This record gives sequence, C-alpha cells and structure tokens, in this order.
Amino acid sequence: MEHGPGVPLLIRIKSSTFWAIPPALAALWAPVGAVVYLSIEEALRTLFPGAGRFEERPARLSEGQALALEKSRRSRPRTTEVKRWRVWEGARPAGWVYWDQVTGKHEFITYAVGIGPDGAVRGVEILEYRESIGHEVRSPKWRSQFAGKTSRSPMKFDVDIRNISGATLSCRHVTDGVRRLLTTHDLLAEES
Amino acid sequence: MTSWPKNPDSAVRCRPLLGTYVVVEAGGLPEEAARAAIGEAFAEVERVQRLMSFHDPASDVSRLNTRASQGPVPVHRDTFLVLEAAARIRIGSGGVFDVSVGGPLVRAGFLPRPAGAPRPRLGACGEDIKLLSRNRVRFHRPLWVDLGGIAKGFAVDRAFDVLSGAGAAEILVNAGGDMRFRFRRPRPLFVRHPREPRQARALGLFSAGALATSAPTFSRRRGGGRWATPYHVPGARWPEDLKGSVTVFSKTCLTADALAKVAALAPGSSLPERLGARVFRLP
Repeated sequence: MEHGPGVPLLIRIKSSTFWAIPPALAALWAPVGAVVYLSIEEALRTLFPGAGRFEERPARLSEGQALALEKSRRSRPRTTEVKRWRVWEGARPAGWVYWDQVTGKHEFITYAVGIGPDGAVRGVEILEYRESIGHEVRSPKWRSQFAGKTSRSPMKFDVDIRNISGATLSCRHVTDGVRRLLTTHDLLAEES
Repeated sequence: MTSWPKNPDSAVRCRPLLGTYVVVEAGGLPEEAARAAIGEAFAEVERVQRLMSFHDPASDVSRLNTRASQGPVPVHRDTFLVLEAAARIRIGSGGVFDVSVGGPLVRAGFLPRPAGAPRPRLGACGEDIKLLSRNRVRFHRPLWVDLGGIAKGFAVDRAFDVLSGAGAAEILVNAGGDMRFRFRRPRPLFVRHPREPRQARALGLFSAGALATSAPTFSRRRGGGRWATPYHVPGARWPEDLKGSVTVFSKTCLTADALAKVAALAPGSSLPERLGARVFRLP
C-alpha cells in the first residue's frame, strides 16, 4: 500500500454516512473524465428562458479585427469563425449567445455566454468539461507514467469530475475567454 | 470508455464561479423545478461571492480590510457568521487556522494588494478581530482578512440549503473540490492524486456530508525564490510548501474546508476528531 491514504481505508468503518471501500479498489487510480452538461440548444434556453426564437448568426472576424482582438486580450481566439445566436422575444431582440472553447494546461472546455441588449453578460454556462484529453489517455506513453500506481485490472471508467474532491482548478481560461467574447461582440457591433 | 453511471433523473449544471468550476446537481424534482432550483443555488453562490471576495472592492471583506482598523464596520449577517466560525476554529486549533492570512498571501503573490487598505501590522493576527454586537466588526490592529476557502465552503453549504429547501432528494454541490452532498443511495466519491491531477481514486461510499481537500496541486507558485503554496502557518513569513494532500469529511463544507487546512498544517491536531470529522491523507 505504498500509495495508500492507506491507513484509514484499511479499517472497515460503517456509519450512517460513510462506508470504507475494499483496499484493492481504493488503490486504483482512474483518469478524470469528461462531462457533458448541456447541449447548445439547452444552453440557449437556460440563458434566455423567456426567448421565443434563436436565430443562428455566425460571423467571421476580419484580419484587422482578429489582430485587434489579439492585441487587447491575453486569450487568443482559436479561429476567426464566431459561432453565435441572436435571441428574439417576439419581434424584440433580447440579446446574443456566443459559443466558444478554451484549452488550458489541464482542461478543454466548451461554454456559452449570454449577452443582454445592453452588452452586459447575462450568464455563462459550461457545456462540456474535459480534463484528460482523449488522445492522451489512449497514448501508452501517457498511461505508463501511472504504471506503478494502477491496479492490475484495467480501468473501466473515467471518474466524473463532479464526484471528486481535491485541488481547485482555476476557471481563469473561461474568464479570459468571456472577456475576449465581449470584445468580439463590441467589434462586431461596430461593424454593423 | 464509459462514464460512471449517471442518475437519469438528476439535472446537473456547471458554471465558472468562486474562481473555479461550480457543479450543481439536483435529483428527484420535476425538470422545471430542478432547473429553477439549480438557478437559485447558483445565485446564492454569487451572492456569497459578492459579500466575501478579497478581490471585489465593494465586498464586506474589502470594507473590513480598508476600514475596520479605524472603527467598527457593519457587515452582512452571513459574513459575520463566517467570521464567528473562523474564530471558533482558530481557538480550537490553537491559532493554526487564522483568516488574517491576507498579508502573507499578498506578499507571496497569491492575492492582489488591496487598494487603499492600511498595511497589516507585523504580528497582527486573528485575535485582533473583534466581533461586536449588531454584526459589527473591528480590528485592533491593521490586518488583511482573506476568507478564501471557508467562504467557498459557506457558499457551497448555502447552495445546498437552497436545493434542500426546494425538495431535491439527490443533491451535490461541488465548487472545485469543496463539496456538500446528500444521496438517496451511497455513492463513491473520489480524491485527486496530489501530483498527477488527472487521476483520481475512490475514498469510500458516501450518503451525506461534506468533503474538502487541502492540496498544492494547482496552486504552487514561486515566490521569493522558493516554491510555495497558499497555506499560511502563523508566524512564518512565507506560505508553507506542502506536499501530498489532506481530505476532510465533515457535516458542513465550511467546517470541512477549515479542518482540511488545520489537518494539513498541524497533523497532530485533535480538532478534527473533536468535531467528529474524518481525515484522509494522500502522501
């Protein structure tokens, strides 16, 4: 049990709220997996529950706009394509929803930002959260670094992030991404 | 690869709040009710964040840091409750847990310097925070309070209460690893590897309570020529360089978060045991 949190789990404890698990299972390290929280359709309805209609209005940043964006923000756009929806409440425009992705050292995140007609953020929803990027987990090299730590039995599941306690992963990349989208929104508004 | 089986009738959402990713799950409610309850739970987290943020100049914490050394400052009842809990844990831990860590954390670069706040006096500590009647607070000497982790724990507890009040039978609120839950059937909960953050392992099967972990995984940084983590031992000039992780299972997330710091900084402390909490250590 060299990696044991060892001692507490070897003792079987039973109380109304906590059961120790067998040491063999407790010694098993599993990769932290991906979670899909919302589809973009669900996110649109969550960000603007009162909306009647969402009109897809993709845009493309000009070279000048992309350059201006890169200069003003630390968070660099992945592409010049902008995926967005115009929100309608009846005949009245009620705002916008932008779809975006950010990649950090530890995470790959898809999210949606609702922006009101006043240009202020109405809400941010995470659509998909991924820590162990697929190709890394499948690569034998990446897995071999955990060789001594896993049990002999193959790992059958990824751990859902919501069930994990542990060090806090900062949401800085999404925060930067939201600021970049607000600048993008301003740049596109100037144009029209 | 398949994921751990999900509860089909649970609604789950995630938002970037409290500087991390906050996941809220509510089960056993009709879809519309679950959606509304989750929205209210997030709103509650945002409310606590506005009150207790170190960064926001309008928060109670910022008002205390700038003005409480000159005279009593009234704060929201919730901020007062968190300061009271912090005082109890400070006394119970013999001063190991202390929310007057703002100064050292700013010096080490973990927090920005608060604008307009008088410099903390050398040697000022939690003992200088006086909790007065009618939710007023005064500092005997200038100091910088950072409620950081326990404010996060409190926000999680409050979000849990909102969902519980809405009648959800299956509840989970997880703010970047600080979590509070109540499940219909016991569920395995996991802890991250302290140095390989994309690996996790089961701690046990849980049905109700809270878990919080102190670990340097994502928060190590170089300050003053050495690696440090944002855990402060009173008297030490730089935050302690911790290895491994400590997870605490307790009734509320506020207590779990505070005790995780106590158990990490003072492994011999009997406080977690005295409060009926359970400590898990990963080397």
